[in-house]
Amino acid sequence: MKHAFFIGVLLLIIFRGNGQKQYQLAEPLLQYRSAFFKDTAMLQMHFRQASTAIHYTINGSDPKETDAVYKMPLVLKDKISIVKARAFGNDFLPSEIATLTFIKTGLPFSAAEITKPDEKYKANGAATLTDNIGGIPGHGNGTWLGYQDDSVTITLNADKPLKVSEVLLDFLRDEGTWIFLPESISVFAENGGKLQQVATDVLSDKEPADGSHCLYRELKLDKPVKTAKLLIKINTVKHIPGWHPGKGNHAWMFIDEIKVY
Amino acid sequence: MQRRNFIKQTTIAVAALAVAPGLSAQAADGLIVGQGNKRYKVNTDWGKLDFARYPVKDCHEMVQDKQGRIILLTNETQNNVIIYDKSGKLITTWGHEYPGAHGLTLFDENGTEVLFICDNNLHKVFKTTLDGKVLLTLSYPKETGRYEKEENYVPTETAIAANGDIYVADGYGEDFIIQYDYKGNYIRHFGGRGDKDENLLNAHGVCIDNRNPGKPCLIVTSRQQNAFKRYTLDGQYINTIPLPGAWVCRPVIKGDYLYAAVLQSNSKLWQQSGFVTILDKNYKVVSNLAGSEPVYDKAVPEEMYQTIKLFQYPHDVCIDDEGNMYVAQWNSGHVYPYKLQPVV
Repeated sequence: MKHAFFIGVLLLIIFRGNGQKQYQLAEPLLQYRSAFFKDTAMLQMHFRQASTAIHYTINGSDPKETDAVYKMPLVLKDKISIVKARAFGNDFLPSEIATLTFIKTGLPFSAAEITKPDEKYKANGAATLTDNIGGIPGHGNGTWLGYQDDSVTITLNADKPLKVSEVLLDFLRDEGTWIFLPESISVFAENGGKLQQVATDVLSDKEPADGSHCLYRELKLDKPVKTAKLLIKINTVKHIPGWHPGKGNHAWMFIDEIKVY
Repeated sequence: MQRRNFIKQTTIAVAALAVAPGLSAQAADGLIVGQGNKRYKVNTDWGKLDFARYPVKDCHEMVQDKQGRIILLTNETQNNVIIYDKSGKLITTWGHEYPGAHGLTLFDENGTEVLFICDNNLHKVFKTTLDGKVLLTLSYPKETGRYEKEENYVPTETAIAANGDIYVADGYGEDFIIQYDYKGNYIRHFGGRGDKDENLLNAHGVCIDNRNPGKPCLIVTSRQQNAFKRYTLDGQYINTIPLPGAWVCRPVIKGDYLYAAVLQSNSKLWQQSGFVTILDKNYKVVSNLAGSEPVYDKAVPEEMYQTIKLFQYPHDVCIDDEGNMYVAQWNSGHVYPYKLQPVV
C-alpha cells in the first residue's frame, strides 16, 4: 500500500500536465484448487485488460515491472511458497499486490476429535482440517470450520509416534463478517501417556484489515518431540475490540487446515 | 440485519482509506473502458451537486423519462428523487418519505408515465406520478401464504409487463417474484430459495425482455449465484444465464443489448470490486466496463472480475435515448452518478 501510494503521487506529478485522472488497476485474479497440497500445486493468474501484464515473484518480495511476466500456470512444490502478483499497465497506477501462500502437506496426522463447529460452518467436520482443501478466502465457501465458542480443542492422531518439530494452522481473517484471528494457541504433545505443552502463540487483530484473508501461523516446538497424539487448544476473541462496530460481542473464529512437520 | 449494516459501515471506512491523494477526482477523466464496439468514455463529474443542499446516500437506481430527463432514486430522505437533464444539470427533486428507497422502474401507462418505487425499510412498493403523488401501494404479499410478517418482505425491484401486470422481486426478503395485475391484485408467485434451477438467491432485479417479438420473457437476477434466470411471463422457468464472478444487479434492456451494474467481483467480496457488464441479444457478454474482457469456453464465460478501479459498488445503469450510460453506486462514499459516453 505504501508503495502504491508513493508511485501514485509520483505518477500524479508526471501526468498532471495533460490533466488526466490516473486510475489504478485492480489485482490480478488468482485461480487455484487449494492452497494446500501433497505433491504439487498449480496456480493460474488472469488479468484480461488490454495493454497490461502481470508481474510476479515467488520469493516473497514485492513484484516490480522488472520481475517475471506471468505467461503460464505456476507449479509449486516447496513446503511454503509465497506468490505475489501485481498488474502493471502504461496508463494506470499498478495494482495492489495479490498474495497467496501455498503450503505442502507434512506428517500423516489426522484430526480425530474436534469441538463441534457451528451448524452453519461445519464443512466436512474433523476431516476438513487435514484434507488439503482450503486456503480460499471467503467464509461461505464450505472449506472452513466456524466457531463462536470461547475455546476450541482439536486432537490429532498418527498411526505411530512421529518426530514433530512444528505445527502450522491456517485461519481466516475477515473482520467485516466478525471473523477474527484467535487470541492464543497452545499445542500439547502426548509423551509417555502424559500431555505436555510444547508450543504457544499469541495473536491479535489490533487494527482493522480490509477484506477476507487467509493467515497461517507456524508454531515451532522448542525441541522436536516424538508423539502419536497432539492436542491443540485455540482461545478465541470473546469480546470484539472497541474499534469495531460489533464491539463487545463474541467474535467468530474460522480454521480450515492444520499441518504437522 | 446487524451484520448487513456492519458490512456497509466497514466498507465506508475502507472507502475513505482508499481515496489516496493520487486518486482524487479531477475533471475530464479521459478514461475509456470496455471492449469491442461497446466502449465508453468516462465522466465522473456528470452528476455532482452541492452536497449540503442535495445530498445522496446510496444512489440506487436511475431511469429516463419521455422528456429526456434522468431520474435518480436515493435513500436520502432529504431528496429521494433527484431529476437531472442529460448534461447533469439539476432540474428538480422530491420525496422525503422513502428511507429505504431502492428500486425505481418507469412505465408508460397509456401515454402517461408512472414510477414504481420499492422501499426496503417500509416493506412496500409504491406507484407514483413523475412528481411523486402516490397512486397505488402494495403491502407485503400475505396472499402467497409464504410471509408470516411484513419484515420478511424486502422488495428490491419491479418490472411492469405491457398489460400492466406488476412483478415485484423480493430480493432482500424471501427471493420470490410476486406477480400482480395492474390494479395490484395478487396473481401468483414463483422463484424463492432452494436448490432447484428455478430458485433464486438474492433476487435483486427483474425486467421484461421484449427483444424477441411475440415471445417476451422475464429476466430475474440471482445475484449471489452470479446469474440471470429467465422465466415466461406466467412464471415458468426457462433457463439460467451463468455470469461467473459477477454479482449482477438488475438487467436493463435498451435496443439489442442488456446492460447491468455488477456490484462486485466474486473474487474480491466487499472490496469495491464492481464493474458494468453488457450482454448481446443472445445473452452473451460482449463487454465489461472496468472489468475483464469476456472470454467464452463453450456457453459459459470465464470468471469475470474488475480490472480498473473506476467504480466501487455500481448498483444500476440507465441508458438514455442517445446511448449514453449513467451509473449509480451503492455505498461508494456518497458519490453522484457517473456518465459514460459511447466511443464510436
